Amino acid sequence: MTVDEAKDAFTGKLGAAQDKSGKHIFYCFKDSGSDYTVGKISHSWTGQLNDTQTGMLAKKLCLQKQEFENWVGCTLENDEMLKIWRNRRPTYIHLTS
Amino acid sequence: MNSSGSNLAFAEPYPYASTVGIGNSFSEPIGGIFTPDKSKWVDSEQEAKSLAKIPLMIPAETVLPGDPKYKLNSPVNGVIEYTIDGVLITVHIFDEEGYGETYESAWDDLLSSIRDRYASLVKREQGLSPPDHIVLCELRRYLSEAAQ
Repeated sequence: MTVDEAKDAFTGKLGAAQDKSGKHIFYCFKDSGSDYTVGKISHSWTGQLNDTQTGMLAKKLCLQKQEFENWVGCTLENDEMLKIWRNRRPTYIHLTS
Repeated sequence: MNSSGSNLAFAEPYPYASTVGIGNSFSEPIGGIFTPDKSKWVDSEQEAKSLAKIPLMIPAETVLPGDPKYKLNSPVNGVIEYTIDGVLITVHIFDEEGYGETYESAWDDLLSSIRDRYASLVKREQGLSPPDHIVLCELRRYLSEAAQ
């Protein structure tokens, strides 16, 4: 998988917005009105992603590495990926006194 | 294969430096035996395998480069992870990582990642999701502008 393929998946398949801040591109996805950071790619990354870089991207989307590769490679449908992400993403309960 | 079931041959325990108070000065494992040989790497699942994980304390006063510069008000815990591809440094409280082929490049990427994440979250503050909002709160708690 190349860096460009991963970028295309975030913007094309997912419809995430790009926020270019400094040396990195953050991918921001709105779900039910809330803005989630779902990916980060360094401007220095080029060519093929190695396993560690792919794992970093997968983790931000709460996916296993193979699931992320399947999503970018179109064998995991976007809707299915979103179901997994919504199920696994962190949730926080705010306790008020 | 060694006694732990791994195909990797390490001297044990790992001869790394103390992890307390290390920062820019920490660059290489003490003893220099960390030499992963990619040609011998067997990875049937094609996952990024962690060769070693070491806790890290990023010291207070560490400066995040950029304009404006920020510094850490107090120490932050992180984890250094050596993989077959390089070095990954994670700071869970900021939900950020730095990656590079060497410790120095991972460290530089971590500091710029934290600064860039802060800038990104501030820009998008209205409507942030709860997890991102919590990260922004933690960044505001730990960071302050450094003298130029």
